[in-house]
Amino acid sequence: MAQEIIAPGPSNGKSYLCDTTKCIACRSCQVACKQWNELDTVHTTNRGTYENPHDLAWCCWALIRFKETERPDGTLAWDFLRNSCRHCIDAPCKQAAEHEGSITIDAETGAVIFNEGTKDESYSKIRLACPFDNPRQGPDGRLYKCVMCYDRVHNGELPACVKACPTDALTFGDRDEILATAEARLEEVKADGFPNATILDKRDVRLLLLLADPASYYILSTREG
Amino acid sequence: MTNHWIDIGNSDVIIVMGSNAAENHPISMRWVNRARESGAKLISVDPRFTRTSAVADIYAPLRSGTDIAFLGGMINYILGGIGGTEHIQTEYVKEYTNASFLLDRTKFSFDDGVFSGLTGNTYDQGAWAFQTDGAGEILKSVDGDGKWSLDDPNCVYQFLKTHYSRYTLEMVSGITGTPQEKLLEVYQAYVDNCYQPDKAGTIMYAMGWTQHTVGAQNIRTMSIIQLLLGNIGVAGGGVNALRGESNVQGSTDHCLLFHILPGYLKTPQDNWTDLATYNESARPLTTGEPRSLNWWKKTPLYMASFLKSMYGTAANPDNDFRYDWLPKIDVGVNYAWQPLFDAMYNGTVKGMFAWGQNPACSSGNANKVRQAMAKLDWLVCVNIYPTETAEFWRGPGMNPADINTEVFELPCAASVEKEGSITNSGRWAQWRYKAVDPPVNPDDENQKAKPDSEIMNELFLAVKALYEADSAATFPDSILGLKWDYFDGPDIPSVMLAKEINGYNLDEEGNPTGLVEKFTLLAEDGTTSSGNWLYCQSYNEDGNNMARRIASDPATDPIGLNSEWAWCWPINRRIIYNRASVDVLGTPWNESRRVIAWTGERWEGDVPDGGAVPLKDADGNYREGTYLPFIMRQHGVGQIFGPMKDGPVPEHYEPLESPLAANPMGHAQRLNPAVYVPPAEEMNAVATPGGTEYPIVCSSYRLTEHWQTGVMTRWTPWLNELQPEMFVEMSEELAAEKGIANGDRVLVKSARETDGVQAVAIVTKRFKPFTIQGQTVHQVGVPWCFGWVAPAMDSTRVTSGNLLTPNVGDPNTRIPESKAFMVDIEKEA
Repeated sequence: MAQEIIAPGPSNGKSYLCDTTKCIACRSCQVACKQWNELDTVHTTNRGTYENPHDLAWCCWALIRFKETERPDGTLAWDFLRNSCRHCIDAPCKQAAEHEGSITIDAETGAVIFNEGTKDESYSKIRLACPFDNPRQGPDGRLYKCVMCYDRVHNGELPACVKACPTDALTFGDRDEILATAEARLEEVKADGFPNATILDKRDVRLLLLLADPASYYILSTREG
Repeated sequence: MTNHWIDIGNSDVIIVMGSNAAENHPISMRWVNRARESGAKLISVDPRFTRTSAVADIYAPLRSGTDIAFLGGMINYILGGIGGTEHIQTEYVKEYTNASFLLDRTKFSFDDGVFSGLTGNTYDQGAWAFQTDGAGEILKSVDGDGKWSLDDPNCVYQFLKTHYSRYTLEMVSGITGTPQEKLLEVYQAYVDNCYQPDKAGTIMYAMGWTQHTVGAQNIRTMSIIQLLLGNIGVAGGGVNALRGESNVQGSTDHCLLFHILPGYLKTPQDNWTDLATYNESARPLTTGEPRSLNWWKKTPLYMASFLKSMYGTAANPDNDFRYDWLPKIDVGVNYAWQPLFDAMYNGTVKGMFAWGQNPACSSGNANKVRQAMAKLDWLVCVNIYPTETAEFWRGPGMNPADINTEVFELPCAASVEKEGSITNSGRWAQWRYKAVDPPVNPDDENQKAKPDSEIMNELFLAVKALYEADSAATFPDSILGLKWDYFDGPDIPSVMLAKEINGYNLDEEGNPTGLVEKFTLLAEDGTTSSGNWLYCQSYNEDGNNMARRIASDPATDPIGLNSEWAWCWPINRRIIYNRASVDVLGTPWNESRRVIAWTGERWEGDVPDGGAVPLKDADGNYREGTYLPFIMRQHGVGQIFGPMKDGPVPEHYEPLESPLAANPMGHAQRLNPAVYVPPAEEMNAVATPGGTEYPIVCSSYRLTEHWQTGVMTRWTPWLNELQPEMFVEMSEELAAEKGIANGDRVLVKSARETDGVQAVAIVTKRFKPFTIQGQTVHQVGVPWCFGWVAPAMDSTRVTSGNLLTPNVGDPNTRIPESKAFMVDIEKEA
C-alpha cells in the first residue's frame, strides 16, 4: 500500500530501504531527484550502456549503476544498484571537515548536509573521506550530494526519489521501522532462493541497500566500478 | 485487459511475453511484485534480456516472430503431447468453451499449411462451420451419459491435439532458437502452476505480439492456452494487453479506428443501405447454441441511441434515425493506417490531420510515410511540441524547395491543462481535473494552446459555415444536421460531452428528461440517446461516476476490485467473463479469490456478466432459461476454435522478412497466407527470405526513458541525459564477427533504408546468437523513440528506428510487422 506521509518528530532519525530485488532501473528516482532539487543536466552520450551519466556529479546526486554478469550456473544477471549518499550515522566526511558548520547532521532526520561552507573545504580530502565516493564539487566551489530531501521530509513529505518509485523498491521512514522492515524482507529474499542476500552496512548508514546476491555482482561506488 | 492492473497481484504465475513490462509499463511491476511476494513466479520470454528479465525468475530467449511456435509447444504440453500428462481445467473446458463442438470435416481441413476455404489471400470462414442438427443447433461430443465430452474424433479438442502434436520440443526449438530444456522449464513453470481450478496465471502482452504478420493469432494462441487452463474470468488471470498510451483504450472505445463506431459497433458499409440492413448484417445471429445470450444481438438499440446522439431531433424512426447521413465505407476497401499512407503516396488523399501523433517516426517504413507527406496539399499537426511530422519537409533526405505541402502547427493543451476522462488498460475511465491553464503567448493573448475539443469545435463551426454559405454544396445534411451543443451548454464542454456519451432519456419531442442509468435501459425506438453505449452509466443521475475516488478496504475486497474507484466498462464490471470464475453451481473456483459467488438467490461480488443464474440448480440439473458465461461471443462460450481472417486456430508462419527461406513446420506456406503484400516497388522493398544481404533479425522497441516517438520526452533534458541518442543492441558474438566494439558508431541497414540508420553499438551479453534449423542466426534490436527535431534540430541525423521497418502487417488489423524484420550492420566509416 502507499506509504503514510512521514511526520517529522523525535525518533532515531530516518532511513531509506532500497530493495534491489524490486528495482527495475526505471530511474524515476534519478529524474525525480533532479526535478525536486532543480539540478542541471549533464550532457551525455551513449557509451555502449544504458547507464548515464557516467558518474555522479555536482548536479547528479543519485545514479543507478547497471552491471551484466554471467553467473557460475550460466544464467545471466543484470543488476541495478543505486549510488547516492548513504547518510552515514557517524559521517566520515563530517569528521574530515575542517570548518565548523560546513557539514552538519540534520537533527530530525539524521541527514548529512553539505552547507555553503563546504566551498572552503578541501574537495579531495572530503571526497576521499567518503567510503562511497559521493561528494562532487560544483562550479561555485561548493560540494554537493544527496540531502535526503530534508526540506520535504521536514514538511511531512517523502523524499522525491521515494515518492517517484513505482515498484516499492524504495521506502522511507523512521529508522527503527525501516530496519525492521529490511530485516523481515531479507529473510523473505533468503527463503526465496537467495541465501547470500545481505543488507549493506546496515548499522552504519541510513540508506540501506538490500542485495539478493553477493556484493561483487553490483557496482557499489565509482571507485569499485 | 480482461482484468485490470491491480488484479495482476492476484496471480500465481505471470508470463511477460510480447511485452517488456518493467521498461514500458513500470507501474505494472508494483502489482507483479505483490504477486511475487505471495509466491508467484515471473517468467520473461523475449529475444533480448530486458529489465523485465532482470527481475524475472525464469528468462527464455526466442527469435522474434516465433511466438506461435513457442506457445504452440505450450499447448502441446497442456494437451499431453509433451510430457505425456494432460493439464487442462476439465470442467471449465467442457462447460465454458467450444472444445466439445464437432467440426464438419467434410468442409474443414488443414492441408499443407493452409486451412480450407482460401482463395487468393482471403478465407471463406463458412468452410470452418460446426456440424449442426436439423434445427441448426451445434452438435457436440457427448459421453455415454449424454454429457459433453472431449472424446469425439471430430470435436475441436481432438483437432487441437492433432494440430499441435506437431509442435514438439525439437520442432519448436528449431524455430524459436530457445533451448529445449528452457522451453520445458517455461511450460512447466506456467502450466503446472495455473491449470488447477483454484490457481490463476496471467499474460502481460503488448506490441511485441501485435506488430507481426501473425499479430492477432499470437494473442489467439495465448487465449486458447488461458481457456484450456481455465484462466479467463478469474482473479489473477485473463488476457491482458498493456496499452501503450494512457488513453489508447479510451480512444479505441470511442472509435479511433476505421472499422468501428463508438462502442465497437461496426462501421456501416455501402451495401448496408438502410438501418434494417445494417441491423441484420452488423451483428451475429443467435444460432447454433440456444443457451447463448449473444449480447451483440442488442446492436439495434445501441445504433438507434447512437444516431439519436449524433443527429438529435432530426433523427426519428420514420427516417431511419438518419442512418443515411452516416459515412459508409466501400465494401472490400481497407482504410487502416498503411492503406491511408499509400493513398497519400499515390495522390488520392490530399490532406491530413496528424493529431497528437508523429507518423514520421511512429510508422513502419517511415521513409515512405515521409515521402507520402510530401505529396499532400496540406498537413495540420496538433501537438504540444514540434514533431518530425510537422517538420518533415526539412528532415533527412528532403529538399524543402521541392515540397509544396502547406503545413500548419496548432499548439494544444497538455493533459494537465484540461478536464476530461482517460481510460486505462484495465478499462477504468478516470476523470481528471485541470491543474493549470494552457500556455498563452505573453505578447498576444489570442495565441494560446487550446484543448483538442476546442480546436475541433472551431474547426467544425468553420466547416459548417462553409456548407451554409454554399447552396451547391454536396451532401450538406450530415454536417448541417449534426447535433452540436457542447460548447454553449450549462456545463463545461468536457462535462457536456461526457453526458452525451452516457446518453439521455428523451421525451416525445426528443428533449432530454434525464441521464440514462445504464445501457440495459437503452431503447431502439428513439426514446434514448447514447454517444457510446459501452460508456452508458459513466455519467448518470448518480453523478460523474468516473470521478469517484473511493479505494476499497482490503478486508472486504481482498482481490482489489475497487469498484467505487472511477468507473469501468462494461457497467462497472472489473473482470470480464467473470461468470467463468465459478463452477456450474455458481461456486467460485477459488473462494479466497472470489470474483463473484451465487448465494442461492443472487450474485455477490463484481458485476456478473449478463447476470443470469448459474447453469445448474442446487440438485445439479441444468436450468432452463439461463445463459453461458461468454455473453459477448456468438455461441456463449470461449472460442478455442474461432474465426479470424487468417484461420480458426494459429499456425506458425515465418515473418515477411525472415532468415529462413521455408517454413520449418514442413509445409509450403512460408508466410501467413492471408497477409496482403503490396506490389513490389522501390518504396515497398522487402528482403529476400533466407537471403544474405540482410541476414540479421531485428526488432524495435520502446525505452523507459522516452515516450513513444519521444515527441513529449526529447524536450526534457533530464530524460535525454539518461538516453541521449539512437543505439543498436547486439551480442558480443555478432560484434566480434563485424569488428564492432562497444560504443562504436555503426549503420543499421534494411531493404527500406539502404544507406543505414546511425546508431551507437551497445555490445551486450543480453543478446545471444540463436541456433535456428542448425544454423547460427543473430538478432539485434533498435529503439524507435529518436528523431532529428529534438533535442536539437539536425536534419543530418538519420536515427529513427522505423526507417528500417516494413509496412506490411497482420491481415486482421494491418498493424505493421515492426517487431521482426531483417537488417545488416556495419561499422560507420
